[in-house]
Order: sequence, then C-alpha cells, then structure tokens
Amino acid sequence: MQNTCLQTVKTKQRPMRVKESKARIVFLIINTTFLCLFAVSSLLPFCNLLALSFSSKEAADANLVWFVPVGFTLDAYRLLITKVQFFRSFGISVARVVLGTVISLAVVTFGAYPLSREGGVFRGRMVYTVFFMITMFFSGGFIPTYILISKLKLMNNILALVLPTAMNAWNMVLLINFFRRVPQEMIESAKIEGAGHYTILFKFMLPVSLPALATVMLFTAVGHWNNWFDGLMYMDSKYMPLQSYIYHMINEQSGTGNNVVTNPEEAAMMSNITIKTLQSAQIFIAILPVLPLYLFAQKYFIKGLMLGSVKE
Amino acid sequence: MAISESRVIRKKARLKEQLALHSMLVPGVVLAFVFMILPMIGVVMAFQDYSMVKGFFGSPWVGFKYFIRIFNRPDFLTAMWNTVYIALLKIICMTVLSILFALLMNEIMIHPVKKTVQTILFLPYFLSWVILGNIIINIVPTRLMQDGDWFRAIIISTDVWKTLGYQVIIYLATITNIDPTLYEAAKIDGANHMQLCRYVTVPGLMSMIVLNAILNIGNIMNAGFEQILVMYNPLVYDKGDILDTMSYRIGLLDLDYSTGTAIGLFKSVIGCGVFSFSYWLAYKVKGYKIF
Amino acid sequence: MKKTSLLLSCVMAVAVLIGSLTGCTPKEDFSYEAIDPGTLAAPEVEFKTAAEDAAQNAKFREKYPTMKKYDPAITVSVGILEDDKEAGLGVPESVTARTQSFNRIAERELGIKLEYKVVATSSVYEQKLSAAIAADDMPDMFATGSADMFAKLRDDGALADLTQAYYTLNDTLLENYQKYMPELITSCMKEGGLYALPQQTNKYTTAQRLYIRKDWLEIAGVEMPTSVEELITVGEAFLAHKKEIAAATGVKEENIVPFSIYKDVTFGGSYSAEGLFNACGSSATGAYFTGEDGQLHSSNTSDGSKAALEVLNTMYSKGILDPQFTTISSTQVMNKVSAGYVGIVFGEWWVLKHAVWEVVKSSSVKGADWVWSDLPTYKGQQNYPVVPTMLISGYNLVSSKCAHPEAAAMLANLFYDIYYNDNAEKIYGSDVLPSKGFYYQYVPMKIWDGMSSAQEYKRVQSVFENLYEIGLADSEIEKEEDKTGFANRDIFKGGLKKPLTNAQITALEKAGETVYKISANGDSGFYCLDPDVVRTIEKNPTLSAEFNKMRTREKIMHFAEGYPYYVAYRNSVATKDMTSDEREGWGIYHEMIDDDGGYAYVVALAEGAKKAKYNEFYGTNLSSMQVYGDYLNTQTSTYYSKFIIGQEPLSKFDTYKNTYNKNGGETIEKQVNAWYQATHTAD
Repeated sequence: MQNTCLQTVKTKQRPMRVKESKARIVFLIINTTFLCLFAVSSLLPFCNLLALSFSSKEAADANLVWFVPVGFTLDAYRLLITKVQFFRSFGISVARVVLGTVISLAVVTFGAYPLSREGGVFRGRMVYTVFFMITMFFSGGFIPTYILISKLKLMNNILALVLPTAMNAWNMVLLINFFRRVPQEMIESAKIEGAGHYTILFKFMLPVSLPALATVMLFTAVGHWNNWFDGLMYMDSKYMPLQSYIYHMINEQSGTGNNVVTNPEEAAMMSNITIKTLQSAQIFIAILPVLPLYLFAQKYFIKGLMLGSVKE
Repeated sequence: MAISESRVIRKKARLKEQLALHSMLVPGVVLAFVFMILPMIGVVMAFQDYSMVKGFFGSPWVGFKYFIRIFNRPDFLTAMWNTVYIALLKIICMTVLSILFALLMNEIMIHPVKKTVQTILFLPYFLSWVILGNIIINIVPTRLMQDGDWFRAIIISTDVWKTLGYQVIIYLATITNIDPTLYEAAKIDGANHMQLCRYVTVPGLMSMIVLNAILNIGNIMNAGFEQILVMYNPLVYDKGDILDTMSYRIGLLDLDYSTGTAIGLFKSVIGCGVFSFSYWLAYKVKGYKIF
Repeated sequence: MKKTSLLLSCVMAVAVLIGSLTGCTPKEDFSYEAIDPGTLAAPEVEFKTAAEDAAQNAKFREKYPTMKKYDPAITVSVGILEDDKEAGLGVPESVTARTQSFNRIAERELGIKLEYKVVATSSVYEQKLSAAIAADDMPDMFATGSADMFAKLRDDGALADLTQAYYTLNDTLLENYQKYMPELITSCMKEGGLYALPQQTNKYTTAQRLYIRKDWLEIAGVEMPTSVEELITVGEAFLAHKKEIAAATGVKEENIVPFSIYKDVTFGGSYSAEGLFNACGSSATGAYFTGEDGQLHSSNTSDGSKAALEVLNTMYSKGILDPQFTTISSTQVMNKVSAGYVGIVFGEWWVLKHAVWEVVKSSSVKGADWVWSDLPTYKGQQNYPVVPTMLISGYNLVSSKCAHPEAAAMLANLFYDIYYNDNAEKIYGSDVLPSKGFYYQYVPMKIWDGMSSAQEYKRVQSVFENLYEIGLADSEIEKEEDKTGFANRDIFKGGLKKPLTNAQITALEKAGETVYKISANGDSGFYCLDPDVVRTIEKNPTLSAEFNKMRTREKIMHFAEGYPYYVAYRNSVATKDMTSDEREGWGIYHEMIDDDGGYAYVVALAEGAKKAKYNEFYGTNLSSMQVYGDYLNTQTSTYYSKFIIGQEPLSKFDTYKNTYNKNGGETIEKQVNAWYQATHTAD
C-alpha cells in the first residue's frame, strides 16, 4: 500500500525478444558510442582542472594544459596544505551545508504538508499560497537584506548564511506535488484510527517520500555549497565559506585594471602573481565533496525529480 | 442536545486539526516573512533618489524617474530583446535536445552503460559558471567569442550541455513509466523499433513535453546571468548584454542603486506575469497545479 | 484560479502603465553648481616644522599634540579592507584586522579602542560599506576609494569636520599637504569645512611607459623604437624572427605574441592600450583636454583616439597584437608576460617589479631582459603620458557622530611613527614586528607619506653608488687596497639573504650586533641580511657611514635584494649570465633605484624634468555622467574593440562619434565645461 506510488516508476527493462536486424545493431552501436562520447565531454572540465592542478606553473600560465598534466608536479597540493585559510573555509562550508540542509529540509517539509491538503481540508491554504508565491518572484535586493542581517546582529554568524534561504518555495512546491500523489485512502484510514497530522506526516508521509526528500536535500546542499555572494557580504574573510574564498581568490588579482598604484606598498600587494595551478587544485578539491553526495542521492533523486517535476 | 454536543466536539476536533496544520506552517511563514518579505521594502529605491544616509524612509520620492531613464536608454530595448531571445532559444533547444537524448538513451540496451551515461551527463549541472566559464573561454577559438551571433550560439549550447542531464532524467523516467502492454500490443501488430518510438514512446511523452515546455516559458526573462557575466566581452555587448548584467553593472558596480533596482523590478514584474500566465496555461491545458 | 488571473491583470496594468511612461521624455537638469570650498580655519598658532623653527613648532605642538593618550579610553569603530596578506613578510597566518597587534598598540599608547564594524575584501568593500551606511551602521572612521561616496556623504552631512584633525597630523604629513599638495585639501573642503584627509598621492605614478624585451630586439636585430611607426616595424621583426626567439628562449613558437593588451580597451592601467593612446595624443579612458576652441572635449571621440585605433588595427591585422586580446583579462596578459611570451607592453613605473621582472628571474625562460623608454613619437609628434590634474586615491573619513574626530589624526600619526620609524621597536616594543602581528595593510586610518618614495629613491640611489665607488665590490679599487674583504662580485653572487636560526640571532644580538631580519623562515628563524657583510661594513667607517644613511627598511628591502644585482650590473655582466640570486634584485633595482628606472621617471615628471599631459576634468561624477556614463562606456568599448579587429571599418568612426554625442556625450561635455568654468572662476 505504502509503496504504490513508487512502484509505478520503478525502472523496468522491457523484455526484448524481437530478433535484432542488422541495421538495428549498427544503430545501437553508433548510438551507444555517440552517447558515451557525449558523456565523456561532460567529464572534460573536471579533467582540465585535475590536469592543471598537477601541471607546472609555467605550463599553466602559458595555457598549454588541456586534459593531461604538463610538467607533472605536486607543488600545487604541497602549497595547498599550507593554506590554513583554505581548510578553515572548507570546514565552515561543511558546517553551513549540514546546518543549512537540516533546517531548510525541516522548514520546507513542515510547510509542504499542510499545503498539499486540499482547500476543503485546510482552510486558508490560498492565503499561504499567494504569500509564498510572492517570495518566488520578488526580492528586495542586497541592500535591504544586508540591513536586516546587520540589525538582527547576524554578521559573522553562520546563521546569516543559513536562515535567509531556509524557506525555499521552489523546493516546497516539489514536495507538495510529491505529497499529493501519496494515496489519500492511506491518510484517511490513518485519520479514522485517530492519528493527528503530525503523526501522519512522520509515520506515513515521510517514509514514502524519501525520493523527494533526497532531491530537495541534494539541491539545498549543492546550493549551499556553491553560494559565494552571501559569504563575501556577511562574513569576515577569516570566516568565509569555501566558495567565497575561491571567488575572492580568482577575482582579487584580476581586478578591473583601474588600479591606481601610487606607492611601493601598494605595488608590493599587486606583485602577488596568481598561481593558476594552486587555484585549480583548490577548485578541484572544492567540487569533490559534491560528487559522492550526488552519487549517493542519485537513486532517489530520479524518482523525486520525476514526481515533483517542476523545474528549478 | 446530544447532536449539538457532538457538533461541538467535532468542531473542536476540527479546530485542533486546523491548528495543527497552521502550526506546521509557522516556521516557514516566519522565515519567509523576515528574510524575504521584509527586505522587499527595498524596491522603493526604484522610486526614490536613494541616498544611503537618508535611507528608505528619508530619500526623496521621484516617481518613475528612474524607469523613464532606463526606458530612454538606447540599449535598453537591445538588452531586453537579447534576454528574451537567448532565453527562448535556450528553452527550445533544451526541449528538443533533451527529448532526443532521452529517446536515444532509451535505446541503449546495456543497462550499466545507460546508467553510467546518465550519471555522468548530470555532472556538469553541479559546476558553477565561474569555474566552467573560464574553461570554455580557453577552449573556444577567440574568433568565435568576438562574433555576436557565435557568442549567442556558444552561450546557448554550453548552457544546454550543462543542464541537459537534468532534463533527460525527467523524460527517461517518463518513458520507463509508459505502460509496457502498449509496446507488447504494438509489437503484436508488427511495429518495428522506429514505429514503436513514433507511435508509443512519443505519445506517451507528449503530456510531459507540453507541460515542461509551458512551465519553461516562465523562465523567459532568465537568460543566465552568471554565465553571461563570466563569458561576455565588449565586442558582443550588442548581442549578449541582458537585463541582469545591465542591472549588475549599474547597481552593484557603479553603486547606482535606484537605477539597478528599477531594472530588476521591471524584470521581476514581467517575469512574474509570464510565469503566472504559463502556470495558468498549464492548469487549463493539462490540469496541472503548481501549488 | 482566480488568484492567477488577478495577478495577471495586475501585471498587465503595470505593463500598460510602464508602456505609456516610455513615451515621456525626462526633463533632467544638468547644470552645474560649484562647491564653494571656503577657507580653512587658521590654526591658533602658526605652523612651522621643527627644522624651520623649533620654538614655534613646540608652541604649535603644544596646541595640537600629534599623540595624546585618552583617559578614560575611547572606543572608535572602523571599517577596513582586509585582503590576503602579502607573502614573505612573516605575518602569522592567523592574524586578521581584528587580532592584529596595532589594536593593542593603539589602546596602550593612545587609549583608543578599535572596534571593527566593516571588514571586507576589496571585491566587495565599497558595496559592504554603502550597505552598512544604509543600515545606519556607518563606522566612525573608514577609508574609501570612491569620490562619489565621499561627495554623497559630505552633502548629506554625515561627515565630521576634520580641520582640527588636520592640524594634529605630524610635521611631515602636514608639510606635505601644505607645501606639495594644497589642491588635495581644497578639493575635500566645503564652505570652510574639511571633510576628508585625502591620501597623499603622487599623480605622476599613473604615467605610462613602453617596455620591450631586450633579448628579442637583439635576436631580431632591430633597435629600440622611438616612434610608433618603428614600433610596428619592431613588431614585424619579432614576428619574422619567431623561430629564432623561440629557439633562444625555450618558449614555444606558437605562443609568441609581439605585443599584448587586455580586453577592456577603455580601462587603462598596466598592460593596457592606454600607453599607445597616450603616444597618439589621446587617452583610452575618456579624459578631457582643452581643444582649440578653449572648450574641454572628451578624448573618447578625438582624432588622437582614431589614430591610436588605426595603429592597433594595423597591428592586429599584421598579427603583432595578440589575436586573443578580446577575451583575456589583465591577469592573463600578466601571466603571458611572466611566461615569456610577450615582447612589448605598456605600463606604469611599478611593472618593473611585476610580471616584467617575473620573466627575468624565471627558470624556464632563458635570457629574458627588458629595455624601456618614454612614449614613442607618432607621425613625428612627441606626445606625453596622460596623468590626472589631481589624484586622490583614497579618502579617510570620519562620521559626524564620532565624538573624537581628531583621533583619526592620532591613529594616522601612530601608524606613521611605527611604519616610517627605524626605532619603532625600541619605542613601541615587539608588537611592531610582523611576526608579532603587525601588518601595515590592515591598519585603519593610515596616510602614506606621499613624498617618501621620492626621497627613498634618491637616498638609496646615492648610497648604492657611493658604496660601490668606495669599494664595496668594485674590482678596480680592490687591487689597490684589499681591506674590505669584498673584493669582487663573487661575494654577492649568492645573494645577501642568509637564513639564521632564532638561537643564532639571539647570540648575535647579545654580542651587540644589529641583525636585519628580512622575512620569517618558518618558525625556526628569519632570513637576515648576511651578518658577515654587515660586520665588515660596520668595521669600515666610510662604508658604514654611507650604509647607515639608509633607513632600516631600505637596508632590508633595497640593499639586501638589490645590491648583488647592482654589483653585477656595474661589472657589466649581462643579465642572462648572472646567478639567480643576483637576478632576484633586477626588479627592485630597476623599479626603485635605477636613475632611469621606474620611480626615477615619476620623480622626473614631478620635478618637471619630463613632461606630462593633464586630464583636465578631475571632479566627482557629474549628474549627466551618472545618467549616460554606463551606456557611453559600453558603446565606446564595443566600438573600439570592433575597430581594432576590423569588424567595423575605421571610416565608421564618425558614425560612432555621432551615436556617442547624440546619446549623452554632448550633454556630458556641456556639463563638464560648466564645471570647468565654475571651478576655474572660483580659483
């Protein structure tokens, strides 16, 4: 009973008993090869980063490196382990992802459940709907948000990175749609047995909604991991999360070219020439944690996306 | 007496039930109100000669001055057109290609290969444009990045390449969901693979295609801010500058908040309108409800 | 779905409203009202430096003490730009603005507690600052590079009058302002009030020069060009000798680029097209020059710009100009230069200790060396580098809510006394050492001494020359009296930086020797100026007298790094035959010490020995610029790039000029002239 909604999407191979014609076989081979090649193209940027991180500084500066390291060296990684700030930022990013995902998942799940009930069951649904819809389209922009964070005394507090995005209407829509597909009879029978809404949510809804929850979790976690702007704005450089640190690192020296360097002290600052290989090593390490997370969530993910299918 | 008592009890139970439902929404509503609705007060900047010292409440009101100012910019219409044009082409290419890829991938008979391809295809989705953009600039010949039309083509194709995996998964899942008996019946009727695809798979996908296309139209004002910001250059401003990049340049780089906000607000209003329309359409055509 | 249709109709209504608004033409006022600077309130005692009149100075200082301790201590909130720390100074990794030792010194010496309100990296500093101000959270004291922000805050009455603080500045800073840069102070005044302590800057530091790879010239068998026409010939010669250059330097042939600039043609700065525009009598960044009609005209649409574009177009079509330039950032050009791929660049004085130097000391490029010159002539006409009439690179501001505006000057004086003082460690204790957490960039409210670099250049230059003449490694003199023990270049071949352990340093200091610590060597000790060399210099009274003319900082920076190179250079050793330790000094020598080097040029311009051309508009952003500026900038950079790569023929320059003038260019020009009138009648 509980699994009905999942069974419908279970991946089933269609039995293929028809005798394959020659043309068909040729097509299959070409098709498979083409798709494999295309998939490989998706891996190229990763290869490029990896190759750069293992290449010599000269080769990297000269744009000689494509997908194989040129002048193999571990220097970038050796230099990287001395960067305390990198690891501190890494830690802050991890903390932010964990805290942010947990809070966001809780808020969104609690919000999605009542909204997945029909208007007859839950009065005032419409008001909430309009309320959340507004948040999907309009935003106040950076200045008022900054003022708010500063008035709430959340500067340099990890909550400044976590709370503003905790309530994500898009993810909530995904969950609402998923909850809706859970058979109503199940809920009705639970109600007759005297279960309250909290019980229904925890005992019946959540266990069958793992795919949707995994999807929302992955999106939230990746969103938190990749966000850099808020970290630059609300945190001191010492407490910047990893992506802010990387953004800062890539953009700091490239400047606009409008720099007025007037004294030797400022000139000394400008002379820190970027080390591209180090950048690549840092970026590569920065995207690594997302991969296992993705692979782990993937099996739920497809179902979750499919059933809650709304873009974004 | 007994009836009214039971009614009271029922009413109480109902009230309790409603309360439970409302209470679940409290955290979401509070967070959304504090962090999203409250800052919306900032849109008043678009109607003020905003001064950071005087703030939102003290800055002089100037009505639509900043809107008129941006509408009078010769490049405003260009940016607007670029936004819609790039976004629309992205949507069309994405829809066509993701269906094609889903159909092709469905034909891979070796299951582990199919699974692996699908997994890898999704990977670029997780890379940020800051990183990806630099790699693409290195790979693509400079001559093409200098040409407005080529630039658009590159923007569109790289975006499609990046998000393809995401869309393909949705269509693939829909395909696996098609009733197997339909295929069996068609085969008994003597249909070959092409015909199976044409008469069973595509019609089975149709409703998802229509739905997705309609929903995507809502994105017509989002041509990909980060991507373009990272990849464009002065030579392609006339073909590549979009409302978001314009608002960013003026608002955040030049610290002209009033103009920046005005452009942003204009974009939001149009975007919201188109969105509402497309969802309304989705509801009318497919009975699809977002909320 | 009532809700959606309701929403939809709302949107439609707004769209119609907006649509109808588009029809209106805005009536905006672009006149210019001059700001009256007024006159600064005179100090109660006349200012004389201690050198001019010691007694008078004592009286003045009694009235305006440069340092006094607040009792009870006051708290001042500040904003600070916090970028990555410079490598090699030995500042511990964990030091941040909030934890730096300067905070302790300020509290101990001045009774000023610093509270950090805005701490940001340079990519978001101005944004964060303006947001903090909007949040009614403006720091008491902060610096900004934005003239607009300064003007807005001043006009809104958010800034404190700094007249008293100004007189409280120490003798050197005050004298610099009064004697060398009075116009900086005037431009920060309004109706008799002084609202900023502007950064003391030498405007000539922005002047562009031409740098060419010397080894390439030799391989291609051409002379250093003196005109733009010759520059093109040199570029062609580089192209023709690609193979030989590649073979000689070990760089791949396909990577060789004769001349490089970066994609933002209208930005200026190092490795940009600005130098070439200057050579053609214009400026890529939109400067204003007086025309024959006596009016100011934008250089964006001038004939000089057209000429420069024509030259660049020729270079591009011949393959001299980097074909990739439209997509690469200044960082990427910099990387190419340091990788040894580029033969010709334009830049300011300091590029000599930048990428240009990187390639000289690079291990993978063989024999790289550079020559440089002032701007080449164009069609027989000598043009000069364009510099601003007045340059303020930063404004130190104090909030009107701050109870002690003069504390800003106290902090600036304290910084000066630590940074420019050889005896700082004796006075303020070990907290002034980088290893104890002192990092100059993080100090809030600092005013660089605008004249110190010029003095430093002259001092170090003469010391180097004298040391060499007296006999520090002059092989000629050595033969006569072999006393110094520094007979020849060999002693300096390995450089002057020696790693010493902490124990060794303590032992030396106990023995009464001065140890010059250059940079930290992990936790184990420091790289120091070779104690043997120091000892021998100190033994010889003539040498030591000369040596001690340099400040400690100069001994550490300039002497330790630059002297080995200088010795080899004076011995006529070619750069490529030097040891890598000697080559390390190439940058610092040619940038700061060489009498035809980077800073020498700045000094020559400042002293009038060489000429510059002035951008005559130096106000803050005018209202018309705020309205049309962004559009015109994007138009100009698009057109410029198209002209250069030939996507549009140069015959269309007039079309561009018309578009430019019609869409705001004329309005801006009118207002700029109104500004000019107003400012110059006020004088």
